[in-house]
Amino acid sequence: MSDHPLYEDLSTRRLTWLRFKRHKLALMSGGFLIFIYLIAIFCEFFAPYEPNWRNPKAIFAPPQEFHFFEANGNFQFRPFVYGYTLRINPETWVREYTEDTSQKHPIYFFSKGQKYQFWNLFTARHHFITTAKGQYLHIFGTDKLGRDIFSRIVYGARISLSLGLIGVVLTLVLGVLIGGLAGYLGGRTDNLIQRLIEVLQSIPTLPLWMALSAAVPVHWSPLGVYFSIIVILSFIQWTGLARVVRGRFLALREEDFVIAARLLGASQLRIITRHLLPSFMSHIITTATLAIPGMILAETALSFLGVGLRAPVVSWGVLLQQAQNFQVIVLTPWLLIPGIFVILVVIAFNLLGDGLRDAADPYGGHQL
Amino acid sequence: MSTSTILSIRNLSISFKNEISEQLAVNNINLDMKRSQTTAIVGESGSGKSVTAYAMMQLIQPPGKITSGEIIFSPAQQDSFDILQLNDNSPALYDLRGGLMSMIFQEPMTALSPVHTIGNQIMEAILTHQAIPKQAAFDLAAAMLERVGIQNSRERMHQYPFEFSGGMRQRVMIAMALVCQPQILICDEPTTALDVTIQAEILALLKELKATIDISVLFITHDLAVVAQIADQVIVMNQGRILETGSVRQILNDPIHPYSQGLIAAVPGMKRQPRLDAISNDSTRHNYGVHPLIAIKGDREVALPMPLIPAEYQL
Amino acid sequence: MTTRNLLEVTNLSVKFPLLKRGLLSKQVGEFTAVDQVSFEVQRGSVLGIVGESGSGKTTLVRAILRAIEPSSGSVLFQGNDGAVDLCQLTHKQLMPLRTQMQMIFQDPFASLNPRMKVADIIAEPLVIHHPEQHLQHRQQVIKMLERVGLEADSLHRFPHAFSGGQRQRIGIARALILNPSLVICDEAVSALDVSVQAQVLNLLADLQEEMNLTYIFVAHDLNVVHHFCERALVMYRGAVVESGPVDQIFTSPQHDYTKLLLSAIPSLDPDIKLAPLDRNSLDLG
Repeated sequence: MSDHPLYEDLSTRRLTWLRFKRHKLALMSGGFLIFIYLIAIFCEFFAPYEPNWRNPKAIFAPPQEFHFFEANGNFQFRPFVYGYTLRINPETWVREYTEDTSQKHPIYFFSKGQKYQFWNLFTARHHFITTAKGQYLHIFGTDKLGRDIFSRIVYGARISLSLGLIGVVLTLVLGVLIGGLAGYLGGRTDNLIQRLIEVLQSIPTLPLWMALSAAVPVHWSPLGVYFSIIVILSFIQWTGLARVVRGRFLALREEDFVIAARLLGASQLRIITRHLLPSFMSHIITTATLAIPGMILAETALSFLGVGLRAPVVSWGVLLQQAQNFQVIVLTPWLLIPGIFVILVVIAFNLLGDGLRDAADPYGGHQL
Repeated sequence: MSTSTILSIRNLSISFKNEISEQLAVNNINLDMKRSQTTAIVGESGSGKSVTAYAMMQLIQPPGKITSGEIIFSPAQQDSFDILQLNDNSPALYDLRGGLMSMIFQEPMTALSPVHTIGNQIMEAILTHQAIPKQAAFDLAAAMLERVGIQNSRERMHQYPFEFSGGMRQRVMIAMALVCQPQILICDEPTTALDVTIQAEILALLKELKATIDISVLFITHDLAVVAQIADQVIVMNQGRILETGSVRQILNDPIHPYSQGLIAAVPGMKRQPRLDAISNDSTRHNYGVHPLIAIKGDREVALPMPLIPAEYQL
Repeated sequence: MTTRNLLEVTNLSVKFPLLKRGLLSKQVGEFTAVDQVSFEVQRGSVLGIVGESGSGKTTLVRAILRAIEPSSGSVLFQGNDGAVDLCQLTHKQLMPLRTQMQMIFQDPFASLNPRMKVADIIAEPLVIHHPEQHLQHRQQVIKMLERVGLEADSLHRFPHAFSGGQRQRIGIARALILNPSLVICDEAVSALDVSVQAQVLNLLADLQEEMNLTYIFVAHDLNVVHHFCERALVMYRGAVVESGPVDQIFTSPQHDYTKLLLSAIPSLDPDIKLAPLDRNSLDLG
């Protein structure tokens, strides 16, 4: 015992971490999300190609397989892929690609490939994964224009994931501000805000989103559309958070330690910043974490329906737009791969949020 | 009145684990409950008194864990058995909980379901343990409510817990606990949350019931005055250990253990005194508790370090 | 107002509106939690307020400190700069007076902010009222800690590292650090174990002597009030039914409700059986 700190001496933050660590799934989800956000930040480096670069030799090409053994059985330490041979089925007119064992495309890591502009800051050529000039690598296959799906997913991650994050920040600001105001002022203001929230929540979201996005002018730049989509999504999503914040505010206002602060003569500002906000910060963080997947899904839905982000912007929703017809699922199922990423990220956020929620309550469950 | 033992606990230890350490909530205790008597466990918060009672009904939940010991239950007209050996979900355990043994809690509002009527909840308790028609169960429940002093019981059967006052809810809990005629009733601080006038009524009810029903009661409380009013045997617990056992008069009028003496002295009495004799925490924690020896004389047991044991006691 | 009295409460009432929930809530009546209460507190004395749950005792003391807005009546407080009616002041005007009147709460787990360290909790009144002397705060906090019987190494620990009694000491330190004249103890020892309760009561008695404090001591435990207070009010359904020196109340109660309360106290002696009066045979008003 002597070399351990006393359990009771742990700060709330440390205690939260200890509790969180017990949630293996939440911990793994957190790790996965950090990994995928890193990829999104450095997407130019991780993607072997520009998202709009076309490989004319591979239209609707299936994913290539990694190999370590050549066709004759020779082992090779550096992995490689085989090029495609294309045959068009004379009966069905379907493109059929088979591996061409005579075309070996070795894979190089951290070496030079296509030129890119990193965050529009500087030009670089180094990629995490690439092939020699003239050869190609399509881990997840290509689409109808011969664009590399893997590269597009990596670039799409930047748009989709950042949209979720920025959207939630905006939702938080709106929710905390309006909900806090309702809970703090109470009375008529509270009543009015409550009714407004009820009205907003009773409108079916999808049609409303569609109507609002349809109102975004077509000639706006991709960046403008991106931000207007964020604003539209946050405009609906803040209501849930505002309710939570209002409820917490009302409950906390009656807590003894808040009344104690009032009786000490603390100003309203001090009570809010020193006593109220820290007390539900963990709650807000958890709610926000659980709200991010909603944002990502909403963007995906809008873009899928064609009223969200539009090409040439690449987001996971835009990518899934190509998977709209039945033919795709039968003939080119790899176009659905972006959907797998959406699912993984949404699950990871939900698991992380669950773990945070359980960990955030430092006084639940250690008393007898 | 027979004085055979209805329940005896041997070498019971229960530990609770948190993120970085493990604590013994109950530390190797032995106790006997006499048949048809009221045994009170008295102790302050953290003494392990409630945990002991929960263990008797196998209600210890993780992070709590029973690390050793046995609880031998000898119901009338049945063979005795070790409660801790019963499997979760075994029929014997369900028979025990609410059947042979039942419990009333400190806060009746949380122990009663807010979405079912009082009548439904009592009838459910009956129908779980007895195969009788619904109408019979209804009559039985109404009679039991009448028995614990709830008037118009047939109408009140259709009401929800929130329509009852705190004292009335505790009466409902008592009715529910007694309706299956258990042999042991565990009362976990049943009057602590009540006002003093209501407490007096509930204590009077419990005493009156005790006088007419043959039942053994385990009464858990921190209030020595309540102990004085209700108990036959008293067990003093502190920090997971039993410090002293004896009859209610022995403990209250002639306590041996310094902790018991301190506990009694700390109660503000009816006569005004300038200062209360407070027990210092260090003395209870370190001087008496670490490696106590058990000294016995007659039916009294006391756990003390060697030099403090009175001469007439045997180790 | 005579200067011997620190506080004079006259006809204080607190009424809560009964609202009907609807699209826009509207008032349908009112509930009188405190009904025309008058009493005075002498400087340096201890006034007990006893009553069962729902008797309005907590609402009364919170209304005195304006944590709840009183509906009518006056609360004359003999402050350092003369007498003022607390009910007539705005919250801004009240601020400087808050240094002279403080409250100790019932629940030592709820009344301390779990996210603040003990040093910050006890220093908070100093930070609010004397921010310019921040260099001396630490010294003052350490002195106060010693005074309430806590170790100096408690400073950097969080409230949940302490037992109930220790937390209550922290609450006392916070209430007393500004050297108030009036301290309201709202069930300050009710949540504590009996041995700890005795320690805290002794501490409160010592501090009263050292710092010349005046206490209003709210409790439901009559024995504690009898032990600790000189005078007492008995409250029932928002109104004072009896008041006077505690010995008089305990030995010759006048009101039926007081008699009922006293008859319900269990004795420590197993041979004195509890014999509560029958509620229905009494005139409780």
